[in-house]
Formats: sequence, structure tokens, C-alpha cells
Amino acid sequence: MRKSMEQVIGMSKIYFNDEQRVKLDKEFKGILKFVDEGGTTGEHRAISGIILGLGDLAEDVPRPSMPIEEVLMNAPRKRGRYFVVPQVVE
Amino acid sequence: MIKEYIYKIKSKQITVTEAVKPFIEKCKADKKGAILEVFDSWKELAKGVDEKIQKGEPLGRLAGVPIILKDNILYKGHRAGAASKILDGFIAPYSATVVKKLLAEDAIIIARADMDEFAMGGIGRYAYQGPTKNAHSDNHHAGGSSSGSAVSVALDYCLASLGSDTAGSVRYPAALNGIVGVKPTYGAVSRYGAVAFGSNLEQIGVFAKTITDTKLVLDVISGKCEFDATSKRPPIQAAKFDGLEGLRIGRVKELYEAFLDSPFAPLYDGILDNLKKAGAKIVDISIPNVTKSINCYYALAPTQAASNLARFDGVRYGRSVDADTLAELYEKTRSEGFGTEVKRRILLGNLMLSARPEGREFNEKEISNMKHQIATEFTSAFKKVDVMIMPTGAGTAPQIGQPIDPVDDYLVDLFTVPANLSGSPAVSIPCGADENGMPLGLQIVTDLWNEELMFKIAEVLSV
Repeated sequence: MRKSMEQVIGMSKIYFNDEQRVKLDKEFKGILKFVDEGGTTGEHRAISGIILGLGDLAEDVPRPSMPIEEVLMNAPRKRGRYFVVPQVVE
Repeated sequence: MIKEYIYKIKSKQITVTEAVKPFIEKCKADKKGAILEVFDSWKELAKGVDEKIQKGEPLGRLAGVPIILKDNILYKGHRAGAASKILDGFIAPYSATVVKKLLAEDAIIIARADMDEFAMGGIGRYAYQGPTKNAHSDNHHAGGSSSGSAVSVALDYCLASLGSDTAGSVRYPAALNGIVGVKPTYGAVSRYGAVAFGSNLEQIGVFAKTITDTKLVLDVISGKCEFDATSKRPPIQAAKFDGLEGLRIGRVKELYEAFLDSPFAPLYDGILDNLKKAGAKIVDISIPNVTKSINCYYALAPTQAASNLARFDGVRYGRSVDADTLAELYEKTRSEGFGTEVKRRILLGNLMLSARPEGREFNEKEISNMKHQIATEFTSAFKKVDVMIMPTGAGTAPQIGQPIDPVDDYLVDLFTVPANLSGSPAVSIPCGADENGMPLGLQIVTDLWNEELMFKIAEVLSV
């Protein structure tokens, strides 16, 4: 497996065992060849809001956010007003 | 159909509760894998509309109309899971704008429908809960990604349903199940409350059995939304359509050539011939990069998916796995929660997002330029023609159980994805069937914000 794929797997935070990695490597050869057939215009333009499809942007005005209890209602682990995660700082 | 249904309710021939009940029963008896859950709340909604009728209060445009949502559209207090294990048990803390708009017009939301996980798939086989079978055959796929929404309409589980279309996910299953499916102009409908996948490509769309019903529901859900910066107010433009006489119908050379080998090519040729006989002008046009749309899409959409799906981390919502460290929590949760195709696209997206990936010729910015180029080519083409007509897919529904290579799977979007890159509105209407009765679709594409003309032509072709 190429180094870039190893990096991308790490970046994606998804685990693949050795067997899956071999299969992925094979599949990606076909997929990347297919993607590369898309080609480019050869131009290097800045990606503007028009390309991204942005409409009329809203005024940057603060407004009330979702109540904390609704933000936390689907949290797998919570305590009071907080999400609970494994200990980060030793 | 909706008009006649509402007339019966308004004229008190039937109550909303009585009118919706048969649809609920059909949903509950579903054997196609189309329905993930029937919402009990339909009774309260129906009761509310019945009370309005009793009191003589004004009714909404969808009074009592049963509607089904794709599983990636949030409805407050109800489950929504994008057909993914990682969202198993998730309860929507707010409603999508489209849901609010439907409820404001007295629609009755009755169920959530199966789909390809996170809308990634063209065939309807990647749901965590299992694939959806075609409305016309248990041995064929429904088409994706809005598989359950399409089958629900085709089998009369509801009068209309909502799906989302990032590369053809409304139009393709509509074609394979013999119904109407529309993807509006990018920005016509708010995406607020729809689980994000390919943000600058996708739109929420509508399935129904008739053009009139599709248009009515699309009118209800359309409009500028303060929570979606990409939604827009449509420019006011009158659709100039006086019938087929003189109408300039574009046949896109590059797509036509790609379709020539299909056994269904003569059927489409016949449709164009009939249009010509009716007075329309068939204009051969070239959109040089149109067939690159599909390759471009599979570079662009995964980059957006990789970013949009980074939020599924086992901390904030959805499935979570026990772990000793934060890094382990992320990795274990995502590895167990995402399906194969979703993982594949996240990897592809992160690879494309790399500045100049090893062995890659292009990066995400260069591919974005190609999207812009294709959109520009569409704009130029619409100076020469009023409408483009093309197949929705290359054939009828694929059989269940056949092994499909990922790249072959991606190619099912060949005819639908250009409209996602250009942002154009496009509708698929039924146009025939193969020798086994499996339906085919015809796609009508107009220039940006010209849904009115698109629907008028679709109506003429549907007769």
C-alpha cells in the first residue's frame, strides 16, 4: 500500500485490517484511474463563492442557540452541561 | 391525485384520519424494505387538521396529504439515521426547513424511508437496514440513493415523498420505479436539517406520481431560508412555452453517443422523432466536458463527504463505542458505525483533499475548476436550446445479488450528475418499460430557475 493511502487512513480515523487494506489498495487503483479521467481545465482559479453556490449571506448577528438539553439529548455520554470523553490530559 | 384527495377532505366526504389510515396500513405491510419506521405522530397531525375542518378554519395547500421522508431529513422528536449504524437511535432535536414547510401546509408526515447510507450509492443497496427492492420486482434494486422514498410513492404508501439528489438520487430511483422525481435548481430548496453529504451538489427533491403533484409539493418546500446561506430567492421569470411548435430541444452529442449502445436507444430516438413531428426542433449541441461530470463528481463529492462526516465521532450523537483514549473512541466508533461504501468515500475524499497526493494528477481545487467549467458549458448551451432531453439512466433496474464493481456502480449516475454540477433543475418522468415491465425514465433539464418551463414540457410529454 502506498504511503499516501496509509496517511489517509490515519486521517480518516477508520481502522482497516491487513486483509481490508489489500482489498482497498486494489479497489482504489480503479477508482483513482476513473477519477483522473475527469481531467482539469488546466487553469488555477481561486474557488469563489459563486462556484460553491453561495447565495445571499446572512447578516452576522448573534442569536440564541439551541438549548443545552437539546444539544446533549443524543450524546452517548454526558454529565450536567457537558459531553464526556475519555481522559485527554494526564 | 392530490387535488382530488384534498377535495374529498375539504368537502367532508372523509376525515383526514380515515383518509390517511389506508396509507399507514400499506406502510406497515411493506415487504420491500422501503419503510424504516411509521411515525405514530401521524394520528395527532391528522386530528389537528380534522379539527381545523370542523372549526371551518382555512386549510393548507397539502391538507391531510400523507408524505414520507427520506431517512436523512430531520423531523423534531423523531428518529432519523441516514440509514447508518452510526446514527442508530438518533432523535432529531429540530426539524428541517422542508419539514416545517410541509407541516405549515397541513401535510401529514407518516414515515421515514430507506436509503443508501448517507445517500452514498446509486442502486439502493447500501442501507444499514438492508437494500430496498424495486416496486415492480423483488429481484431488482430500487435505485438509489432515495430508494425507499421512490418505492413508497410507486406502491401508494403515500401521495408524495421527499428525497435528496446529489448525483441523481431522486431522478434515478424515480425512473427505475416508474414515477416522477425532480431535483430543483441548486439553492431552490433549503438544505437545513438534511444530513449533509455533498453540500454544493445536493438538493432536496420530490417524488410523486404526476407532474402536478410533484410541482405542488416542490412549490411548498421551496424558498429562501435564513438557516441555509446557499438557498436563494428565485429570479422572477415567465416561462415562455406555447406548446411544442418551435421549441428547441437539445440533444447533447456526448451523452447521446454514450447511450448509443443501449438496447433502449431506439426508444429515446422514437420520443425525439415524435417531438420533431409535433413541431419541436431537435438541436444537436455539444457540452464538451459533460461526460467528465461523473469523474469530476467522484473527486468532488467525497471531499465534501470526508469533511461533513468528520462530525460523527462517538462524542456528540449517535453510536459510540467504549474506548480508553479519545483517538481510540473516534477510530472504533467510525470503524464500526460506517458501512463499506461510506468508508471508501471518506478515504477517497481525504486523498483528494491532500495538497498534491502521491501519484495523483489533480487535487480538489483543480477538480472544482472543472465543475465551474461544466456549469459554464451548460449556460452556453442554454443560449442555443430551451430544454435538454436525455435518458435518466442507461437501462432498467439492476438485479439484486449481482456483484458490482465500485466504478460500475458510480457510472449509473452518468446521465444525472451533470445537472448537479451545473445546478440545473431536472425532472425524470416515466417513458416506457422493458420486455419484463421494468420502467425507464426520461430526463428533462432546463436552465437555472426555469422549473416552470421544465414542468410544462414534462406535462406535455407525460400525456
